[in-house]
Amino acid sequence: MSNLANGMELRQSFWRKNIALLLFLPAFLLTVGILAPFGYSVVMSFTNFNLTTGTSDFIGIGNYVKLIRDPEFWNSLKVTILFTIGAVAFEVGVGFIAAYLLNLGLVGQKLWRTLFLLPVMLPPTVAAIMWKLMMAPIQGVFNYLLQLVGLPGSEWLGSSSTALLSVILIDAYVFIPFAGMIFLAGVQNLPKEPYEAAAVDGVSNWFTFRKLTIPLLKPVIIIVLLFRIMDCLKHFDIIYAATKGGPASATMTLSVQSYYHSFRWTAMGYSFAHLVVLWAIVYVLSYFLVGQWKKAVSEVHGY
Amino acid sequence: MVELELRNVTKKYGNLVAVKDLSFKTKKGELIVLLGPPGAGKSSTLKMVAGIEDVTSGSILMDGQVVNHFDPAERDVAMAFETYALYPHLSVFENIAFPLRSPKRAHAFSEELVRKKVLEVAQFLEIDMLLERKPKELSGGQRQRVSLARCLIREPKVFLLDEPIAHLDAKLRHRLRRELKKWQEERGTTTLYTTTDYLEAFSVGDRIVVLNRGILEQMGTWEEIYSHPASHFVGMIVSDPPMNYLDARIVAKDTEIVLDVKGSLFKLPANVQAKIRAMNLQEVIMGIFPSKIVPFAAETLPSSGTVIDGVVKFVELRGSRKIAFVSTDRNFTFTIQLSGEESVRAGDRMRYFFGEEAIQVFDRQSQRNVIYLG
Amino acid sequence: MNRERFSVVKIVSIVGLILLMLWTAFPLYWVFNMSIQTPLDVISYPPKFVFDATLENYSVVLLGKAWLGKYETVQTDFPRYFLNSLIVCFGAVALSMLVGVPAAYSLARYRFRGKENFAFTLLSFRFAPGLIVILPLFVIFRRLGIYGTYHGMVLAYQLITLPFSVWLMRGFFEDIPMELEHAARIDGYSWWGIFRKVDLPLVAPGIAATAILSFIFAWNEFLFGYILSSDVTRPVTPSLMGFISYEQVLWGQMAAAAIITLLPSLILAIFIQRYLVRGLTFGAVKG
Repeated sequence: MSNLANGMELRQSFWRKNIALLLFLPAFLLTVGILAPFGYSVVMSFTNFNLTTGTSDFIGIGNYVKLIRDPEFWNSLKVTILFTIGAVAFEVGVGFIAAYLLNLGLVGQKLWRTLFLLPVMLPPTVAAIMWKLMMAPIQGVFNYLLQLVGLPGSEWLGSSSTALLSVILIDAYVFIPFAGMIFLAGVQNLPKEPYEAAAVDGVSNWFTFRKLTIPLLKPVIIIVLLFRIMDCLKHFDIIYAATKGGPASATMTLSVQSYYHSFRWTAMGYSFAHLVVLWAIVYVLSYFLVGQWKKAVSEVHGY
Repeated sequence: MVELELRNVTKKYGNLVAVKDLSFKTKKGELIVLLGPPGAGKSSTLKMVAGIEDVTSGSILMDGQVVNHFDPAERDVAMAFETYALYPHLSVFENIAFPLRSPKRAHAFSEELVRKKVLEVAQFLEIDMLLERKPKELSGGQRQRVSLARCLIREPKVFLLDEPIAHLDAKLRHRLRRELKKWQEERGTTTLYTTTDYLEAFSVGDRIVVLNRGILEQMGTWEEIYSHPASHFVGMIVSDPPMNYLDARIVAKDTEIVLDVKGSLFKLPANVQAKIRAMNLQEVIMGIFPSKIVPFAAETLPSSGTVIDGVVKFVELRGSRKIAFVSTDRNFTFTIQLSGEESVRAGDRMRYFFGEEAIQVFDRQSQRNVIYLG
Repeated sequence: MNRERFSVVKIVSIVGLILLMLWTAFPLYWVFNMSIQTPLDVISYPPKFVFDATLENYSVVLLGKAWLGKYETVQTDFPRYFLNSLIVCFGAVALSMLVGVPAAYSLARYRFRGKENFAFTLLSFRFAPGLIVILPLFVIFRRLGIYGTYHGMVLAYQLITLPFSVWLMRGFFEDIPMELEHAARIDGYSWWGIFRKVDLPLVAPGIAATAILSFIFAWNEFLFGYILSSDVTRPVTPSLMGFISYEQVLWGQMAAAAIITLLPSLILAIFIQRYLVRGLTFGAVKG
């Protein structure tokens, strides 16, 4: 039975009574259509489905057991988590500073803000290619510039010790504007009165920052964390374009690993197991973070 | 010109009861004012009559026909919203013309006629110079008038006006009070009009419905309400300064029943005495409107009524009137209304009089006027 | 905040801002440079900041005309890839809007069982690893014979465009006060009349922004296009990977291709700047 949110009563006519459901039916069908592949993945993760041979026998939790025993899986998990923590910390930190810098009212601010947002609108693979060109160890411009100021060059994407940091750098290039713009919007939406009251009370800037700004920005901070953490956990584009997961699996995140299991080694069932694990982590985390966000929003609006 | 009736109408929002068992009937072409403080259920009532909120229980009838299940469009009502509800993307002209362009009606109105009617109502409300502007360019008072105009341009069965002049400046409000009443009377459209201002209610309404937290406290003409307010609440809401209230006890003296207020005895009209006797009341509240207490300067005492002596404690200016707080020689304090010209100062001794019929007696437990009990 | 004009904080801030702008602009500047350098200049070391610009790379990539002593036609698949992106992205966005606008209105205005569950499910698609949907589609599409087709891809791209469109437009519809619809009902309009004359005009800018943003997200998408397209139907963003794998030396052309690929997204983004924050956060933060 459908009701209108404001309680309007309609005359008994089939179309008008069920208008809500009818409007929403096509989207619902598409959503179910999208859910079907999810189901497929979960089901097939319990088989030994192989792309080349075409076999798919039910093997219970065999793939998952194999996963737990697989050092490559644990490496992927480690890489994924390190990548996430590194990238998110960097992006949130610099993004916050960027929001501050772009809110000072300096000359040309509108232009700077427009320029600042550009990287996040780039296709990430294009950004990866751009940086890969610049990070070429011998001919890349980055090493050249470093040497100009007397610093040693780096192997960047070519060495397993620096590759992860390098892709974090590329990811940061693309997504610092994401964090920065959202923080900027959050800061601009801050109410004026509490700050005026604090100024009258004569409290220090640091105090207002700590006790007023941060709590009031909590919803915005959580949103940035939510989107960035989820995106980094499932990350594929930049790493695949820049290093393809190497060198020596230094940048092999779970998604890339899963891709190889499907297309290089055609062990799709095993690949699905990776993805189901990843998805489970992401789903639980997103549920938690969305809950935190709702709580933060109601706290901020309750004052 | 319809007869509008509400029968046992209740409205709940979840657990919150906004309107409780409300019943009243209008006469054809009558202007009924719903008077009450914010949260009394006035807007909810109007919305239910309009059909944009459904009734939790009870019925709404127009000319005897139950209309609960009718769409707003089918009920043929026009409503002026308290929060204006103007279409932001349309000009003032288009906002006002909007009802006339609806699919059902459009054929009846040529563009010329639309223009004529819009102009007519816009001139009436003094917004005819704003017709090309958009709502966001208008002040609050102007927006309210556009909302009113959109409502008045129709010729519906019922007008529903939700605090239609609340946000206008005083002068405009006074003018519109009269003119709206005239507009309504000329067309004879049954109208429900809400307000929190009792003076407005009295000047505009044929009859007034006093609402308190969703409950009907009293319905009647202003004379009826003023001579016998049905409850403590009604007494409070229709008087400024508020009614004088004193706790009293019922005592028998000779064959009569009188009020004992801290030792002073007051006689009561016969019908009131009959009610008190019938209901066997003991603890009551005595209420007297300040406007019914007048200064007394004659030499001889009147045959009925009460004369009190007292000392003025405090005088306050209220607009063009003065309020005096008088500490009587009888152990209680009265608030008395004076005209602006009277030169009364704190410390003055004054003598006051009020008639027997000015005394309202409320049962202390139910807060209701004994006249209406039993 | 210090009120002196030349406080230390202010100077550090200005320096910070300059560094931030350099960091942002340099990669774009550099790759653009590479795209207008000759093959010799591109691989020269030390890298050249000053050189004679040439449009040769663009000419090869876009027009298939190379200067080898005289203009000759060479193979370029790039225009085809670009066109594929246009077809797939327009198609995907069109379908999402067609299906999503009514759904968004329904979510905004009506109450029905499972509404929030449905909304959260749609939201969860945003965070799910793309492969978990793409791999099954890869298998299923091949079996159904729609692998590598435009309509197959338009359907698959719904995972990217639909949740976003619905969530964003839901917010825009919710921004319209219910009272306007009440007033229009009293004024005698039917549901469809109200939708057409009140709701649509008011959400039109929002719908346009949603469509443009969806288009950008679809344009920037890699995995879906990479795995579910054939060489004939490959969109432009995945096609860039082709430049990397074997044409190691043609950096100039790769740079030109990259610049052309990113231009639509950047230009459109500048147009809908106003709605960007709202779009990126699915409506959670109102920019």
